[in-house]
Amino acid sequence: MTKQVHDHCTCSETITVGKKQHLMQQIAECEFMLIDINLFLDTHPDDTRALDDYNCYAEQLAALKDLYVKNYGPIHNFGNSVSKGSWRWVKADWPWHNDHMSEPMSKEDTHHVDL
Amino acid sequence: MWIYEKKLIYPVGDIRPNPRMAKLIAMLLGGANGELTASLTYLNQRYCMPCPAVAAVLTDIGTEELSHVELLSVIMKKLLADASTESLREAGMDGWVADHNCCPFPQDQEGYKWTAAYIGTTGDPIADITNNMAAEQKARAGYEGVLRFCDDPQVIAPLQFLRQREIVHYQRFGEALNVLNEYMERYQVCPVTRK
Repeated sequence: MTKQVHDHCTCSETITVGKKQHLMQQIAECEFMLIDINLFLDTHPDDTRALDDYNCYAEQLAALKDLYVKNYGPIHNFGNSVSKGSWRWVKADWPWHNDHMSEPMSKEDTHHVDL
Repeated sequence: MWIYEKKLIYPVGDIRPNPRMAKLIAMLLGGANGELTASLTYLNQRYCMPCPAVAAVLTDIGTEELSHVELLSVIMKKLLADASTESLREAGMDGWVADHNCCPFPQDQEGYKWTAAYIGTTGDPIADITNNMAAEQKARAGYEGVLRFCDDPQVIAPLQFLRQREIVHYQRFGEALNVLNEYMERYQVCPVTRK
């Protein structure tokens, strides 16, 4: 399933519901855009085009992360990700583990949420 | 306040064990011009930075550098984990693994331990931002030096990404210096005048 997120700016990205690894890839790409635009805006705060792009990608990142968190567990700690059913922060693999992003979590840990 | 994200800033795939490469990566992480030095330098400089926009640059780049520390740490771990005893001994990394296993530890390729003396914080806004421009170029040169000895595409890709980020940071600090000069002129900020 594909959902058009924005139709009013230069960001024409869409969210594609796919596997865990693919979704994380989309999050990483979107977040990288935001890091780079963020730094640019720090020294070009009056650039309205960059600001529009920032806000578009920020909305898109929030949607992508929400989808990931609901399906595969929290990305953030300290209340910035919800943890439905059980305390899933301790379950999902860590970035330095060899199986990071390669295997989805077990079925009972995963309840798929469609857009 | 910082919030952790359970993800890397750049994906890392399957990396072949290579203790010799781990030794070189150590320099990028815990050497004089490494990512740890950069992060702490920029974050510490914030407290004497009068210009809010430049304080934002220091916060944001200092934070991004922390994610670079983590990325290099993961690469380091993968280069050391599952390496044979022989290859560790040959690379001169047996002492490292005996002491730290495959955890990162801030020291350079020659074994010099990271020291707080590397942190380039003077509290003088102009001196600090100028220092950071040089620091980014030295870090960029460091990546190029290490890439010369790297033949694993799974290591080359993240190192090239990190090298590119040094160039972007250099650009932003250059702009920040202009923003800072304008700010200091407009508000008549003189960092040497203290009573």
